[in-house]
Order: sequence, then C-alpha cells, then structure tokens
Amino acid sequence: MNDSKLVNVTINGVPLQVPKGERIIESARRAGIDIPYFCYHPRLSMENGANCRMCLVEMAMPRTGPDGTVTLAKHPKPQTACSLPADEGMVVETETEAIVKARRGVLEFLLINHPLDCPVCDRGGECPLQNNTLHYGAGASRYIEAKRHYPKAYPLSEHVVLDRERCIQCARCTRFTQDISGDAQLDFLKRGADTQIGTFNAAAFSSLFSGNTIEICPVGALTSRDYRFRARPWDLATQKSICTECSNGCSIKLDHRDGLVLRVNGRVNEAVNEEWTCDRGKFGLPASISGERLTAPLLRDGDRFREVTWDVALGVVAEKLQAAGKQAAVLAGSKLANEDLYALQALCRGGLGSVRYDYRMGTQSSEARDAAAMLFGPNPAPTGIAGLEASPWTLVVGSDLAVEHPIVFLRLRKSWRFGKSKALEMVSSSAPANTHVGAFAWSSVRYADRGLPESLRSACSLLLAEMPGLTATPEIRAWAATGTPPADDTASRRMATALSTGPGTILVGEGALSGPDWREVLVALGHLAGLTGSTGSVNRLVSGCNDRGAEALGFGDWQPGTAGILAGAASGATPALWIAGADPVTQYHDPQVAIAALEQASFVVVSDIKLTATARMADVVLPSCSVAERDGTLTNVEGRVQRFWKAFEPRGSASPDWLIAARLLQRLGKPSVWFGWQDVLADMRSHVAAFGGVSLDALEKDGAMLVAPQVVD
Amino acid sequence: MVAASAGRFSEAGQAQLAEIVSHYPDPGGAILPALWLAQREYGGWLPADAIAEVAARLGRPASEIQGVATFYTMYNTQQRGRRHIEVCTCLTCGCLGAYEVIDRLEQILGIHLGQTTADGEFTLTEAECLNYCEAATVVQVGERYFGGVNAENAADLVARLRGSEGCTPESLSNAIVEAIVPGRNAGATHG
Amino acid sequence: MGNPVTATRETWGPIAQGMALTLKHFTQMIVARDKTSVTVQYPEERREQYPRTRWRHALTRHEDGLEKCIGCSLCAGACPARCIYVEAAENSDERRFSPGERFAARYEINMLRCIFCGYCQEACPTGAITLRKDFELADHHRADFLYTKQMLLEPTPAPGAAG
Repeated sequence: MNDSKLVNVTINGVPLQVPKGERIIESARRAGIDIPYFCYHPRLSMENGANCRMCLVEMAMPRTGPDGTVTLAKHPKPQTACSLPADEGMVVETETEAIVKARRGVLEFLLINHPLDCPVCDRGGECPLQNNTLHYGAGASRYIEAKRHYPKAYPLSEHVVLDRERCIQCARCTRFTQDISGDAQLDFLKRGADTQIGTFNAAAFSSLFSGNTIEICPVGALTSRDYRFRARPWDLATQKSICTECSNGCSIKLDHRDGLVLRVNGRVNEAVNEEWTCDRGKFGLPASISGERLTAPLLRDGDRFREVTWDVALGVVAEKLQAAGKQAAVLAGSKLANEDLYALQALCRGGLGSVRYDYRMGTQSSEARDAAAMLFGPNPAPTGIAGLEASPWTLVVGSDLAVEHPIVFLRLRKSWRFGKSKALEMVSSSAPANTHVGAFAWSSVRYADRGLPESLRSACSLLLAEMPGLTATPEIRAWAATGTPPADDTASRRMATALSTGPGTILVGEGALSGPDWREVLVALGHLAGLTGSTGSVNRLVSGCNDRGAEALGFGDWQPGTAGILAGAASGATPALWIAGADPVTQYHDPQVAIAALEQASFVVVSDIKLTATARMADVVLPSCSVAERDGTLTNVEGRVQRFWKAFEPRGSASPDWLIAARLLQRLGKPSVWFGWQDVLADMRSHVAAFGGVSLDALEKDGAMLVAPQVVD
Repeated sequence: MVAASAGRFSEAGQAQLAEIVSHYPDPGGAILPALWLAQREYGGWLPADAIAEVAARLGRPASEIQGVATFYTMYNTQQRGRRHIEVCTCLTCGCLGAYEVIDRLEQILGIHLGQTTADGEFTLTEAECLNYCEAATVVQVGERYFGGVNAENAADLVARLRGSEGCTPESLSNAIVEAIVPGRNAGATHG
Repeated sequence: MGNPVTATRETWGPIAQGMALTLKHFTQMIVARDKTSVTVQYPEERREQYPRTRWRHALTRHEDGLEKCIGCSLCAGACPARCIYVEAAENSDERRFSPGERFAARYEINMLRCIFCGYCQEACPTGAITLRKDFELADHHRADFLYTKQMLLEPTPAPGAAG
C-alpha cells in the first residue's frame, strides 16, 4: 500500500514528487503524461492485473556500486506502469523508440483474435481498443491466419451479453466480481487462445451489480442486452442525473436519444457511488420511465377517461380541493423531487390549511421515527456512506443491505476489503442461507421470527460478559441478564468480540423499526449503542428514493399518516385526495385497504408519469415528468441533496408536480412566486432549516448535506 | 453453491484435504492438490459437482476453481475412458513415429484422436512433452509411462493394458495425492 | 454629340454581331443538328452524367439479396448536414435482413438537408449507401423529401436471376 512518504521520480524528464509505492501509471496521469492501458483500473486490485501489457514503459533505478558511485541502472525489459510502484530516484521513459514499438506489438497481438467488427459493435465509437489502436497501433496487421471463432452474443445473463471473440482477457470484469461486488461469478476458463470469460458451469451471471462489467469492459466483449444495437455513441446525448430507483442516490449519466433514455452509466461521485451503479438502477431506471407515458390530463367520464386541457383539469381539481379545505390530503410518491414535496406541503398547509400529507406506503410509524431521533439524535444517518470506510465495525440489522441499499453495501464491502472494518450482521432465519453481507461478515447472527430484540439483548449480554469493566447501569445489566441465550452461540460470541473493540456503526434497515415490535427493537438498539459507545453513529436507512427529503419536509409528521388518509378517503372524511407519483394499489403494504379506499373515495386526483393501477381509479389524472425531463434535487439516504438535470422535453404537456402545485395555488387565490425549480429551492432553503445549506454551487459538485435540526432542551 | 456436506468426499479424502490445506497459509493455495483429490474421489474426472465441492471445501468461488481445472489439461473436465492413452507428439516423439503410433492405435481401437471407445474402455489423446524423450515414442496411461512404443508393438500395449491393474485416471489422481500427502494410504481406492 | 455615322456603327454593329452568333447557333441546332452544341432538349433528352456524379442515395444489396446495410450509423456520424437517421435492430434466423448480427430497422435521409457531399458513401464499411446519378429530386411537399429505407433500398433481385 501507499504510505505518505514522498519520493522523487522522473517521468519523461519531468521531475515529480509522488507518494512512495504509487503506481507509475497514476503518477504519470497526474503529471499529464498519457500512458495507454486496457486492464488497469484504479478501483480494481492489481493481484490479477497487468494482463494487457499496453502500459509498458522503460525504467531505470539508481544503483550504488561497490566504490560508492551511483549509476543509473536501466531495467533490461520494459515494465508495466500499472504495476510499477514509485521509488526514490526512479527514472521512467514512456515515449522511447523501444516503447513505441512495444506498444505497436502489443496491439498487434491483442488484435490477432479480435474480430474487428467495430461497425456492428456497441462499443464502437467509445472503445479504448479502437482509440488506442488509432493512436498507438500499426496501420495494418501481419496476421493472415484464421482468427478464433465463437458463436456471437452469448447471453451471460438477462442483462449481459458476451462476445468471446472480442475479449482481450484484461480481467477487468473478473476482478470486478471478485473485488468490488464480491460474488466472484466470472473467471477465466481454459487457456491460451481458448481462454474465455465464463461463469461456473455456464450458470447465469446473477449479480446485483453485473451492469458495471459492461461499463468497465475496454472492448465490446460485454454488452448490455437492453442497449444492444439501440444507438451508436454519436447518436446519443448525455445528461447528468441521479438514479431514482432506491434511496442511495447514485450519480449517473443518462444517455438519451429522441426523448428515450437508452442507457444509464455511472458518474463519479466519491461521496456516494464512487463510479458504480447497481443493476436495479442501470437497467430498471430506463425501463421505469420508458413505455407508455401520460401526455395530457385525463378526466373521468363514466368508465372511461377523456383527454382535457390543463385548464379544465386544474379547474376541477382546484374546485374539489378548495371545497375539501383542510380535510384535503396529499400522498406523495418516493420518487418526487424535493421541490415537488415542498410545493405539495405548501399547497396543503398554505393553500388549504391541511396537515394531511404523507409519503409512507409501509408500516413505518412516525412514533418510531421520533423515538429513534430522541435516542440517537436528530440526524438519521450521521455516519454517511463514505463514513463507513472509517468505521472499525459495522452492524447491519433489519436489512438485506445489498438489495435495499446496494451502494451502501458496496461501501461496506470496500471497507472490509481494505481491512478497515468488520462487518456484522443480524439476519432473520427466514433469509436465504448465503446473505450478501454474510459472505464477508465477521459474524452473521441468525434470529427467529421477531427475534431481533432478543438477539440484540443477547449481544449486549455477551458484550457485558466480554468486558466486565464496561460502564453500565444496574438496570441495563439486569435487562441484559434476563434475555434468553442466543441460539447461535458461536456467531454471537464472535460478534461480541468485535463489538467490544470500541465505537462502531449500526445500520438499521427500515424493516427493523416498522414491525409491531419496534419499541423492543429500539430499546435494545439503544442499549447496544450505549454500551458500545456508538449512540452517535446509529443510521436509520430509509428505502424510498427521496424518503429522506420527504421526512425533512414534514411528510409523515401527521400521526395517523397514510393509513389515516386512506381511511378518511374511504369514510368521506377526506373528500379530496391528491396522489402524486405514488401507486398505493401496488405499493401500500395492505393493497386491499388502498383499493377499497380508492373505490369509496369521493374525489381522487393522481399525477404520475404512467397510467398506474391507482391512476386508473382516479377522477382526474395529470401527466407529470420523470427525472429525465426536468430539473430538481433529490435527497439520498445519508441526507445528501443532489441535483439532477433535464435531459429532454417532457412528453406532451406533462409538467413536474411542483408546477402543478404552483398552478393550483394560483387557482386557490394564493399564488406562489415560483417560476422555475430554483425558485422553489430558494423558498425551501429559506423556510426549511434542513435545506439551509443547500447552495447551487454545492449542487453542481457532489451535493450538499441536509442540516440536522438543532436539539432544543 | 453446493454445501460441502452434500459432497462426495470420503472420510479419508476429507482428512487428506485437511492435511493438504494445512500446508498452505491460505486455502486458495491448495486448489491444485484439492482438484487431484476430487478427481480421485469422483472416479477419475471432475464433473461440475466435484468443482463445486472443492470450491465449498476451500471457501473459494466455484468460477475460480473451474478456471483452474480447465486451465490445466491434466485435469479431466470430461469423463475419460477407463484407460486414457496419451501419446506424446512433441518434437522427439513426433520425429520418432508418434503419429504412426496414433494411426495404429486409432486402427486398433476403432476411434479417432480425442474419442472414447464405445465400451468406455479407452480414450486416445495427444500429449505435450512427457519429459522422457530418450524413450520416444512415449505413451502415458494413468500413472504409468510406456517407452519405445511403435506401430508394431502398439497392439501389445493395448492388450497389456486390458489386463493390467491401475493405469486409470483415478489411480493417476491417487498416485499424485499420495505423493502430496506422504504416508497416508487410507484414501487409496486402488492398490 | 458625336458623329451620327460613328454612333450608328457603335450601337448597331455589336447588336448585329450578337444576333449573327445567335442565328449561327440557332441554325446549327435546328437545321444542322450539330453535336457540339451544349444545349440538350431536356426532358426528352438527358445528358450523360459524369461517372462520379453524386445525387440520389441508394441502399444496395448483396448478390444473395441480403441488404448490405448493417445499421452501423457511421454514415449518420459522418454526415455534416446531420440528415441521416438510423435505428438498428438484431437479425434473427427467422427474420434476417443482412448478414451478421445487425441490420437497419429504420434508415431515413432528409433530402432537403442533404448536401450530396458523399461522406456517407465514404464512411460506409459495407458499401451499402451509394450516391447514384438520379438527379430529379423535386417534389411538392416537404414531408415527401424524407426518404425512408423502403424508398432508398434497391429492389430484391428477381428469384433465379443470375448473380
């Protein structure tokens, strides 16, 4: 590993001071010296690296002779810059005649079995092999023999297509699955000219992160099934965006053409996703916003809908909302932007005098949320995603982390991979035998159904036994002592040894605090956090894309919550209900309740991007915009407010929800001053303390953190 | 992933694996000997189950184990006949009549290179240098080398193999395991 | 003013000269049918186009009738007028349009934008798009200038036709 000591190296005559042990390819890059490569990747290990031989350089080291004279001893063979650690006095040349010739030779070798079917290859136009061949390769090949042939387009999985002819055996994808995602699904099979990428026993490449291998493949060997032949790079326009498929808020790039998002690629954001994406976002996001979209407002006409103008539709909605007044309610979807949510609550509180707005579709209770805030502080995610790297141990409870929070999972795994953190897991015995975290966890404790509080209690009890000197009140000792001994004693004891090493991080999934036993879980968590000194680093992870933003904007503060709103809709106590971007019919934890409520409701307006099951039951349907068709901000699981940019025009007359709310406010006689999304943001910044630190400058970079409310005693 | 407990390793095999693994700082180092052990335990070749069992027992990804098993040609990833006849066709043997030996063996066995006889008795393949050039042409069958093979005595070789003990992929695997774990004879299934 | 005789000569002389030339060409054309004349009787007569003339595009086929175009979009990338639109799709054994994996599902040229530079032809890796000599491209409606793949594609060779 690198240490902080600087050494002097000379690259192409340029004297540089670089950290000792830094790979020369990185030093050169920082100095603006271009060294071509294929297999090198700064986030992948070098253990199975230096495969492509493209980054060859000439190297010399000072050598002290027997008489004390120092001479420069040139290494007889060229070295791979990607695996060459910088050392004192090292002299590197990257553009000598020998190196230029060596690169040409390497490329000629790499192209021997490469089919050169660039015109039909999805990578053509953005292909490192193409680019490097153009810059460093010979114009023609001397190889006239038959090339290796395999059937084209081998389906590695439903998302990833493998073309074995194009593969140059750089091992980037295999190292990704071994180092980063950890599922180790891919490896080289056979040898020599027959070497090919494959999974064990030709099983499907079933990874939650398989899409990243497509992105890092330096040739067109791994391509996307969804994007296959859809466009060439020069057909596409790219816009920066934020993924809306989960609460992690990955920075992504939307590649779009003719108003369709054709693919999603990761965008570097060291604070959140580094550069990775999960398959749910990469393949799910384009699917979720493409397909049949709403383009004009719809008004119910008996059993059918009829297209109407915005004027007519908003007239009807405003009239019903006005009549309902403070009985009116709003249900917001988890993919709405902060601006939408702010405008919705402004409509409710300012326009209608109603406090009935919520976002929750599960059984999370605001009581649990408030109690957790009392116990662990007002910031629900004090550690943050990048903060996991510094944590000596991280306990995951109540969450299948890799599925619910894929990017948090990758960061936890990274922290374990570099030996900085022990991953601990408490998982229900009904979960699959090999959990994703369990694969590398220091200890994975299983508990029976509803057994989480007991499991936490036994962890406390073992911890007290492990550390007799621990400060604990007699009450806590007594509480800990009454627990039943753990079923899985070895794992529990092992966990206690990790917990006893000092303060760490606790990640609490949404499931842990939304069951009927949330009080017991919270008490036990409180004791465990208190005993380990981790009270300030208990992170409550929300699942929905912008649930953190919704919470910060007061959604879910009204105690009866979504259940109360739906009950009101059914009983007539809520005469007008606006469901914005949510689909309770499929998302509400008890769909029958939602369906019954919508059937009996007197007036329901739904704004969404598609005609969802809920929209089909509405009286008025308003077309709204997806993340690709508008500007705005989203708040991710760690409270990071991040900006997304409009990629293309909305379909038809679709409009973002904040604008719908603004138009309704106007009709209610309480006009807003919002002419653009920035105006809503500015309003939000001045009226909501949590958003006080969100500046446009910060949004242009890695985003800005929510300000946790100050606790006033 | 196949659980190790569902595997086919015998008790003796498991003991030998534990011994082998103890020689290395990391179980990953024991992949090659473990594959020999598995080849013995699974009857002379490495079906997917064998690879999955090695992976589970060593705590390594199955893809990696399969990568190793398919890299080295001495592991049988396909089932071979009971006698795997490998004829060296490298420089010396090639010059001294290896191809005539192959032609003759094909004729005797009624199969082509790379095939197995219908009764499952013989498989005929080429081999790279067997490092016994002074006795060219060299033929390896199981754990035994036969030197000085030529088109005339090839038929005798086949006849001799039919009646001989050992000389199977299994006994070859066993011989190698025995060499790695000296003094432990418990796992031997063939004399 | 000047001498009236000089003025007459200066005025009428050149006119007479010019008319004489016109009359000469006229008689050459109509009476003598002189082959050296530059005017042709379009549209009854058409001038032979030069070999490298670049007019209307055509998408050509292989001898077996398969389309040469593989939908690679290199023509669209090379086009300085951005007038070519290509959407590719995957061939299957049941529905095969071109050799290999990929074919053009949509291929459109906006002829109003095209500047007939021939870069598309130059960029084409399979020689599918070629600029031919048909120059009569006038039409009545803007929409008619959007040439679709069906309009551009050469007809399939008649079954059984040699080569």
